[in-house]
Amino acid sequence: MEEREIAFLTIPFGPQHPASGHFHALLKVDGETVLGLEPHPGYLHRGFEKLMEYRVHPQNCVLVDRADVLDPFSCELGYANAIEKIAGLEIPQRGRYIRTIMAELGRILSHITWIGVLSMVLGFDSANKIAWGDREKILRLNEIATGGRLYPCYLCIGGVRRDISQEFVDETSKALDYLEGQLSFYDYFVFKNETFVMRMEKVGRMSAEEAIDLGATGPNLRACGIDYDVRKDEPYEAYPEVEFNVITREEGDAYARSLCRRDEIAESISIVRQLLKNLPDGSYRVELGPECITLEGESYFCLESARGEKCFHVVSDGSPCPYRVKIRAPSFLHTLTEFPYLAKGSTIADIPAIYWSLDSCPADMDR
Amino acid sequence: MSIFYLIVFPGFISLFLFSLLCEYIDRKVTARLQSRVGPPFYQPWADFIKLMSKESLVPTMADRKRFTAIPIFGVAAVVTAFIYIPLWSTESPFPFTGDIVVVIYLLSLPTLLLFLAGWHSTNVFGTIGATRGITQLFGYEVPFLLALLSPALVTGIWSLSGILNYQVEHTWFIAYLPLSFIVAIISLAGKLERIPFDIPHAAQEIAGGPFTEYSGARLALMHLMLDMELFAGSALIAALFLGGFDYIGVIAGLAGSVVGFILFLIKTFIVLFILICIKAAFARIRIDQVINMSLRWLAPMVVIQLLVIVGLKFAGVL
Amino acid sequence: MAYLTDKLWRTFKPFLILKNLFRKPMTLQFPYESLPPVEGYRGRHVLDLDKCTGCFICCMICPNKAIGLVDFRGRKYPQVDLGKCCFCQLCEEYCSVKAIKLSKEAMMVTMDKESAILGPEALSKTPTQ
Repeated sequence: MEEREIAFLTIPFGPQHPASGHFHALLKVDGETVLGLEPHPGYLHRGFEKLMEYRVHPQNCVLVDRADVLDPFSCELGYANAIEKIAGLEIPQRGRYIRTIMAELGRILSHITWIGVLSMVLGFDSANKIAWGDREKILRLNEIATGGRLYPCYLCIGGVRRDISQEFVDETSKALDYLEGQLSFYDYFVFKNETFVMRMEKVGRMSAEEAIDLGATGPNLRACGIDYDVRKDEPYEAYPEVEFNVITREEGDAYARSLCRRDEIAESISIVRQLLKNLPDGSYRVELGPECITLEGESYFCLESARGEKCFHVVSDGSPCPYRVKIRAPSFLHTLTEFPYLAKGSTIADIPAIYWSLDSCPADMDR
Repeated sequence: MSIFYLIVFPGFISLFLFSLLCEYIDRKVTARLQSRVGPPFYQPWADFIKLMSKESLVPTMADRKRFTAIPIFGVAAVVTAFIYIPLWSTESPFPFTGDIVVVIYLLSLPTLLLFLAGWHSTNVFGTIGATRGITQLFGYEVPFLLALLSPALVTGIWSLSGILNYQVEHTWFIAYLPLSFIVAIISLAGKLERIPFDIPHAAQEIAGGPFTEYSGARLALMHLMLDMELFAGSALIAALFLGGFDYIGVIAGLAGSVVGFILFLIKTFIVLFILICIKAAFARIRIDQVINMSLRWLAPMVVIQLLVIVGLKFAGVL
Repeated sequence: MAYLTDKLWRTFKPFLILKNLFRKPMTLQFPYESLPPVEGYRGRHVLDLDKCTGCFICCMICPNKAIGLVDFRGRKYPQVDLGKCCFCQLCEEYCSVKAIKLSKEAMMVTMDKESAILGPEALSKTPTQ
């Protein structure tokens, strides 16, 4: 064995990797300390923004929910609201309530998936399997309401495509009761598990100024103490009519982010309960007439997805297809600015913990 | 007769069968704890046969002979360690004074072999996994050694047959040495690289560690080595602390030996069950936290236990 | 002292997962047991040959261009490529005579790509669920 002087190793945190989702990065490592991280985005780039320029608006509504695989309702909501802003449409109240219910269920689904994947990368096999079983409850609700489990194709321009049935309301109440019981299970099994706390406490710490500089939004920002939630600051849909708290924490490390998301699940459950109780009757969809062929205008709509602030900038120039659609994806900044900044100086074992505590979806990053 | 002991029982073939049974129990009980169904009873067999039938690749820059020799050495080491553990009477097939030290030494060979396997893989993940394995060895090896040698310190005899004789005459050592029992089980989890100590082959971070470049028959033997180590380690703890084949009452002759052996298996599976519960309840911890934990909690616990024993012996109680 | 009791509580409480041993597992062993599909599930397309007028709307609205028109019984009828279809139900929504619908049939497994293109005859078969 020849003698070699090794200054640092380059490890691929590759796209085919159980820990990274589908995201490619190169780690420069000396022993166990990470000296630097170089992200290489683009593995899942499917060109949504260009594809949407060749399709009319109803087709785009169905296409866009693959832009964020783990939280598809937020994409559909964003696009539909952006077009409705251009067209000046007013959604009936029942439609707004149903949309908000589905958006909050999507947020719960995304957070439970996040618990599962975070546990998997921390080596916490049991929590991963149990979280995957809890996802099934919400996927069943998706199936009852929309006909599809993962890709709902449900929110359209003008409202929702079908009405919700009494079966959906009953099943949702049962599922929410079950999930509340599971939250108290996750409390002692995951969030207060000694090994989980050991792995996540004081890891990947961000201060409030650093978080704003790096462009963090969503629970990443709120865990540093800044109170910013698009649902409260620029309310949309039925959010003005429900009461909920914005969860903030002070520490700014990975453990604080995890607790923020856990509390957000509880808040979402309470929001859905309030909406189901006060669900109004009436129509759920307003038809878009022939003017959807000749829409002209520009709009910018922001919403709070499970990952952070997602914005849609749509420019329409009078032809049936939009001229330009730009999606501001929250995971883009989580992965490309925050992750390299927080990874420097940590150990290899902390890299998956930091990456998934930022809750970045590679499909969302690359679009 | 000794050929029979070496190859059929309790040597290679029966250890092979028992270790596959051990792996099945491990996977099934872990699955039930995670509210899944778990694999059927023939799954470890099927995995072994499937791996043996696949093509085994060796990286170009790696040394072919060393690559192949490492799994074979590992299996040989664990089988040799196992035949010294008394299964159905106070004596194993080849007893001698000092065999407890030989068993403990042979059981620590697999970790060194994993280090060599990772190093010779010429793969980045292999190198990192190998170094992590050796670092982990610093943490748990001393508590493991002290915990397993505390029965020898109580009796004053350094052979497994002597320790078992003592347990047959007096009570089992778990009554005198509870702290040693706990430390032995936790250190065994570290030695076997099970969650929460499975850092060396942490698949989610370094994609397999020392096992990355192994495939086919070589990987089958590596997995077999780990399974056999699981069974041998649990059997050693059952022999030292839970009395081995000992049971209340006396049945004479061959039937007595058979009953003793079956009870020994049950005690091994109890130790295995405790290991499985630890695996299902925790996440993986970082390498520096492993060393921290071992030196801060495990080593003092076992030292306190030994001081208590020395004190009791000095006072003439034991 | 409170820190120590906290740490011990956090170390030992996760072992309560042992109660899962006494409960039924939550997996369903497919295909021996499965949940029934719900009403309104978006599965395989079903074509009503009498109602269809061959008006081309379903082909135009399909986002993935999975529907094409073929000659059948002297007229034009749609044919669906299940490999490209994203099961979005836009063809059902925009059909002017409600001739093409999505049924509950979800078992559309096949080993070769050619059989995934369903012509009008295959589409008109009643679904198995």
